[in-house]
Parts: sequence; C-alpha cells; structure tokens
Amino acid sequence: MNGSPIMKRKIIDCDVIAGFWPKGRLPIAPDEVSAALLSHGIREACVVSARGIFFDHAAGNREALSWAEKSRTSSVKFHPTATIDLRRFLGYKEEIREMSRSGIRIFRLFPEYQGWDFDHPGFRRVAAVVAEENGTLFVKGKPGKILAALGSCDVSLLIGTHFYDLAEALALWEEGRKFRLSTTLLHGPGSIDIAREHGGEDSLVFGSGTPISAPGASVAVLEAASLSEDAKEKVLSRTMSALLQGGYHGR
Amino acid sequence: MVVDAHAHYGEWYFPVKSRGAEEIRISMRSLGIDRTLFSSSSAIVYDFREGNKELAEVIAPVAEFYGYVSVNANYLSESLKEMETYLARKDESRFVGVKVHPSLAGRGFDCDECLRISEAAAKYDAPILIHTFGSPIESPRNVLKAAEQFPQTKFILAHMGGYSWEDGIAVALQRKNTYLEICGTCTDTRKLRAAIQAVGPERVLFGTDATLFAPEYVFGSISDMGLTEAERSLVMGENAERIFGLNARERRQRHT
Repeated sequence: MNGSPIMKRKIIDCDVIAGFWPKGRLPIAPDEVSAALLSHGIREACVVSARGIFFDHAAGNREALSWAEKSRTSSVKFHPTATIDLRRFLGYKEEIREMSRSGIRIFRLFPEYQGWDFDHPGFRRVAAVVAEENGTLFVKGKPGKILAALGSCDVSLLIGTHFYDLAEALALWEEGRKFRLSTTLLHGPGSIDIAREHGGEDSLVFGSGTPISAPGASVAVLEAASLSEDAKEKVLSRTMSALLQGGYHGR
Repeated sequence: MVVDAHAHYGEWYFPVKSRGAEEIRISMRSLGIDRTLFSSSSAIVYDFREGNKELAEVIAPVAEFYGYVSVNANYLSESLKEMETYLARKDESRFVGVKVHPSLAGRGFDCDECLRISEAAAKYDAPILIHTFGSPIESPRNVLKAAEQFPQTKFILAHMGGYSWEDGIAVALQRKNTYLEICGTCTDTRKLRAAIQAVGPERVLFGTDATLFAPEYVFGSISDMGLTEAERSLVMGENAERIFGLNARERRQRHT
C-alpha cells in the first residue's frame, strides 16, 4: 500500500492494542505497533493496553496513559484509551472518572476476550458512567444485542462489527438509534458505502485492529470505497477527532 | 500471473454490493488478477445443481474465469453426477476443481460421503477446495482422513483454518497433498509467514473470497506479511497454475 492516496491524509486509527499478548506471539510492543501503523501512514491511534484486557484494568489504563505521554514526540501519537474488566466490576465508577480527569475520552470493553455477554448488568452501568463523563464507549459485537442491552442509555457509542452483521446496524439506524461503526471488519464489497448511505457520513470511524489484524487490509478497503473526498476525511480522522474532544455526544 | 484460487460468483444474503461478470473483470484488471476460480454462491448456500449450472454459463465465454463444481454431502449421488457432468470431459468444461462447504451443508469433511467425493475427485484429477474454520464441523483436521486415503488428490484448506490457522498448518505438515489458501477475515500477519516456513511457499495459495469480501482486503493484508519476490510469484499464481494445470489446459484449448 506504500504510496496510496490515503497515506497522505491524516488518519486516526480507533482500534489498536499494545502490550503483551498471552494468546500467541504477536508483534504488540508499543514500538512494534507504531512501526506497523506508520508503514501505512497512520500517525495517530487510540491505543488500549492488553494488560487492561487480560489482567488488571487499572494498571493497564495507567500504562496506556504513560505510552501516550511518551508518544508525544514520536512519529505515531497514541491517544490513551481506557478499559474496564467487567469480570471485576469493582471500582469501575472511580476508574472511569479518574481516567476521564486524565483526559481519556474513549473507553473500550472486551467481551470477546473476557467471556461475558451484553446481558451482564455491569455493561449498562459502565455505559451510564461513560455517558456522564461525556466519553465514547467502544465495544465489538452485534449491534442489535448491544443496543438492546443499553436500553435508553444515551452514551456516545462506537461498535466494531463484522459486515456479516451490518444488516443489524442498518435496521437500527432506520429506527433512529445513535451509534457509529468502526471500519475494522467492514470488508464486504461496498460495506462502507452502504453503511454511509444508511448511517450518514459521521457514522464511520477508521479502525484497523492492529496488531491482531493487518493494518493494510483496512486501509485497502477504505481506499477502494466510493466515498467523496470529504466523507473519506471524516472517516479517517474528523469524526474520531471530535470524539476525542468529547464532542458528538450521541448523534 | 496472479490467480485468485478462492472466489465466488453470485448474490449474497449480506448487505454487500453485488458484482456481475463484467464488473468482476474490471476489478480483476485493476487489481492485476489474471485468472479467477469461482464457486457459485447459490450453490454453496442453497441448491448446488442450480448454482453450478448458472456458473457454467457465466464462466464458459470468459477466458479469465474458471469454476469449482460445488457438491453437497447430503446429496451424494447427485453430487457425484455433478462432478461427472462438469469434470469428466476436461477440454469441454471450464470447471477445474470441487468445492465443499461443510458448515453450510451441516456435514463435516470427515463424513463417509466426503470420502466418496474425494474418491471421485481423484478419478477426475480435480483438486478439492474445502472451507475450513474454527468450529468442529469446519476443522482443518477433518480433512486428514480423506487426504490419507487419496494421496494423489490435492486438498486445499480454504482460509487455512481461519483463526485456527495453526491447525491448518498442522494438517498441512502431516499430509503433503494438502494446501493452504490464505484469504479470510483473519489477517493475522503471522499466519502467512508461519505457513511458508512450515510447508514451503509451493503449498500456499492466494485467494480473495470475492465477491463475498472486497478483494482489496486480502491484497492489503498481504502487503503487511513480508513476502519475498520468489514467494510472491509462487503464492500469488504459480502454485494455482500448477495445481489446477491451467497452462496446459489453456494450451490444449488454443490448439482445438
């Protein structure tokens, strides 16, 4: 993808993990992740610590803050992203508030690695506190289940879903529900165009899933999408910039 | 030459933009794909005979298109008949292999019917492309029984096991007549290097899963996987040319 037009634009990747990967040998140290992103012109990324996903969310969140601080003078800027482990739940409210005071606006949950489902009552509680803090909740799964679990909670919501489940998002948008999708797994032919047509130009945020997934794959799919230049810029950076400022609450 | 060894023709029940033959040709040209091997989407998700028939009409007039005969283990005699129809007379057909999708048919590839299908494929010298992924019914390990019984037949593990790609590689290590096809949602940058190191670049095949996936997705992921030029030539096309005998077939067709 070297030299692709997208690489010349500002890109903020919403979907990046760093740290150590217990499930296999992955190039996931912060400098390895930075190099992978930079090879595709991605110079800003919302990075969550794998320590927070697998072991200790509080320690992981502080690690993410520390990486972000160090990255200020680096080629790739890390936006710290916090997580709460719903298997623990204890102290979630204080942790979200403290991370919010530290400037974090993106809060991620990881049912896919922690083995809980969206009927976990803690999911609604976390979402409510993230909403109070004017943050954005980012979670992967089926949009229908996620929105049903959240009920009337008006949290700014970013969902990572496979294009196999895109129909759920289309139906929910038709009902006027408010949420955005990460492009990470929208690799069906025309999936990004279809999502934009139904959800609007602010409904998509670029995500690569690095280093679990190859960043070049998501870049190539977005490159091939039939979006206007303005819409592409929104997907690549503008919408995420607004979310990082605590803007776009709801939609 | 670049050969897409795993593609589909037809509509999907997902919200994707469908592509007809001409749009596919345009896409192939823009991506540098010289040949594409299709199975019919309707054949794998619904009625295999209807889908094979439709695909036969689509690929017949297009030099860049080849086909897989889709079969369904729940319909053994009909499946064997389909294989005879499309594979017995090589020079009259553009079908070059067999497609089996265990989870969509609800039958693992280790069933007796799939052994019979493998036996027939051996008779027609036709490689079999088998969908493999992480669930028990899709496990790459289900291919081992047939691969042992029919060592002359080539078994291609589509998606190389998906997120279970290490299982795919383990199977390929056990049987030299198994091959690993790399497309899939899983773009773990380690899997291609691991496959090449384990079984050599001669047994790894490029595919896109188009028209279900945007083909750019796998091209983009390969750019992150660090192939050498020699590996790229083999994986992207030479292996498929050799396994499916595309060059020999095209030479014969030019002389008839």
